[in-house]
Amino acid sequence: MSSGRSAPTTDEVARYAERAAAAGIETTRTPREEATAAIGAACRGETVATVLPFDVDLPAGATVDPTTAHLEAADTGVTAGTLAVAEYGTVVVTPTTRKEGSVSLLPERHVAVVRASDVVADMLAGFDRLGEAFAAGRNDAVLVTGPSATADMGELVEGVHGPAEMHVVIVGSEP
Amino acid sequence: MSSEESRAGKAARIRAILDAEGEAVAANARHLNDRRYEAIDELGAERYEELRETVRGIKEDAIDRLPELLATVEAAVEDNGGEVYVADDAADATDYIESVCAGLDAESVVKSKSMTTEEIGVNEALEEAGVAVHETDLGELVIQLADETPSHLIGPGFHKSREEIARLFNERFDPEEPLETADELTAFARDYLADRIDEADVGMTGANFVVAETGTIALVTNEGNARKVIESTNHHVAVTGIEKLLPTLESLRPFVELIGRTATGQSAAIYNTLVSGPVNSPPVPFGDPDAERTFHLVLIDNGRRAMREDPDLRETLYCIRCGACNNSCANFQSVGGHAFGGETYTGGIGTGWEAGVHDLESAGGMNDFCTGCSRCEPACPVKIDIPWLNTVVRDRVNRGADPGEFDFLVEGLVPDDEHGGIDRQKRFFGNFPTLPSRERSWSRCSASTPAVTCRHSAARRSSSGSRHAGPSHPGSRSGRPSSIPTPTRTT
Repeated sequence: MSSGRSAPTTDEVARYAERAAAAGIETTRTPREEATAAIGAACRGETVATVLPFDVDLPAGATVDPTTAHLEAADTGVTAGTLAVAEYGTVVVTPTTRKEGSVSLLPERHVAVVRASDVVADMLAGFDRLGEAFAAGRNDAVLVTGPSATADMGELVEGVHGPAEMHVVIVGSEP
Repeated sequence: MSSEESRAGKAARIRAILDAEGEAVAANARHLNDRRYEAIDELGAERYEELRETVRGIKEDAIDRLPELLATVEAAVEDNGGEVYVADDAADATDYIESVCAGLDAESVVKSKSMTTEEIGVNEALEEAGVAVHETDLGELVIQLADETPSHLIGPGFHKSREEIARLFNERFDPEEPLETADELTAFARDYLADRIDEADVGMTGANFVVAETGTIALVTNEGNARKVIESTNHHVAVTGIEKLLPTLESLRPFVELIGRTATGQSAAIYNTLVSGPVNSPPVPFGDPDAERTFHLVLIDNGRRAMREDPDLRETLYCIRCGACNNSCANFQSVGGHAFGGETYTGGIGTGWEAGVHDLESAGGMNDFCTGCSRCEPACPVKIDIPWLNTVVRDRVNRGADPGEFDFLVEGLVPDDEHGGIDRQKRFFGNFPTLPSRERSWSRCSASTPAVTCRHSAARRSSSGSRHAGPSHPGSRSGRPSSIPTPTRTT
């Protein structure tokens, strides 16, 4: 699935974690064989999820392909992150018929699962990847750089129309 | 000074606004300024300048190629399964949007923040047609509830303190426990709006950028409301100005890197949402087998094509509406957008927008607040010469003034054939970098800079139109006739 792309250096993944933290996103780095457990550890309460488009199993407790009732009752939503940009701590969600759009947005907590090979250094490299996805017809994308926030009520508040908490699990990377 | 309002009347009006809104405006503007400085420092001055140059070049090229990009985007959006409508003016746009809503039997519309829909009066038009409209951006919700107009490009409720918002919510919604903190107000607004979003038939957004080649709109938000509105309604109507077109996805990248920094002092805005036609996401609530998504992109002219042909106002079309000019403006920081006025856009670049999409009268009122201090110019990510736009608009207002308004005391005692042009003091402040270099050795453009390469050189602001030049400026130190140029320039 990494289509011959060279894996990022450990430095790039470390840089991602550092910049994500600055954007208010928690991160976990995990080897592939421990990924399911790491995702489970990042979830809180009732969890809904979308099937990951790569070879990582979701935790057993997560409800995949949720109904509206599941979605509304959920505390955590798990989706893939199709790309991550180290320089900004940005993770890209690609909404499809699998419901990534709503599962990443409506629950209080969003857990995004990103392969280490999908971590790129900067926005330039990120837009190269987006360009490839768009050319292949995947032309819907949300670049997320932190929990939903507003200052419109007089002070900064996190968790407005989107999640108040974000956690990115980077798979295939030893800390 | 506007002739419709006495000097004392205007002063009283500004004092009243200062009392009511000054404190919230000052706190918000200064906070955003500080954050902007930090976000630019983080990037480094050199890279910031590189990005500004890059985005400026992209906008110049895109506006130059606008007819071609319009044709490209129409084809691309249609390929993606959506529709494009290019509206000549506000009425054309609102008629079209009303017809879309009528065709869907829509009873309610939820909106994410869009200044362009403020410009064309969508809410009023839809409400008159019996369609309920709910703003989902929290700042927009506040001013919708208060029945006020936005006072800032990105912070429509910039002039309201938390206490005022709490009072407004408590009066309007009469909650069991009075709301007080920002957390309580936000949680209440989220729940209230979640119900409005669930009920809505149509989701309306603006678009911060439109990528012609791929038929993609980019929506920049922090709250996540744009995506929520799209996810939860079957029908998406995106409304934006034709000037938002960019050629390629690649050309969007530097804007994503800049807009969060200059708008709110973030490295990147929290949500940069890219949507290309009807999305594939199953609408929430799930399970409606008849759910079919539609996508309408309404691109508004409303004066923009004429601005493109106007060598001075054209630059306004490069604006990405981040509000850095508002925040950096010394006067805006004190009085805020409501004192500046303007029908939709206010302060800073608002002058150019109002002159282009409304009229000179709307632009001229706020123009009086510009001292020509030029603080806004380095703040603009697209390098728009906003002080110059103010000078141009002031000049047009003055020239358009009724020549019979003032009578000469003694007929014939006039130094030159002066038209109603800009007063000399303002002309000086607005143009001091254009003075001969020895008169401005203290200014930004170094004396050694060759005139032809200096952005503020006489080459740009030609003094060739000297027929309007008055007698030498009293402050001219050279003793010879000053070459303070008239507000005409060659480009």
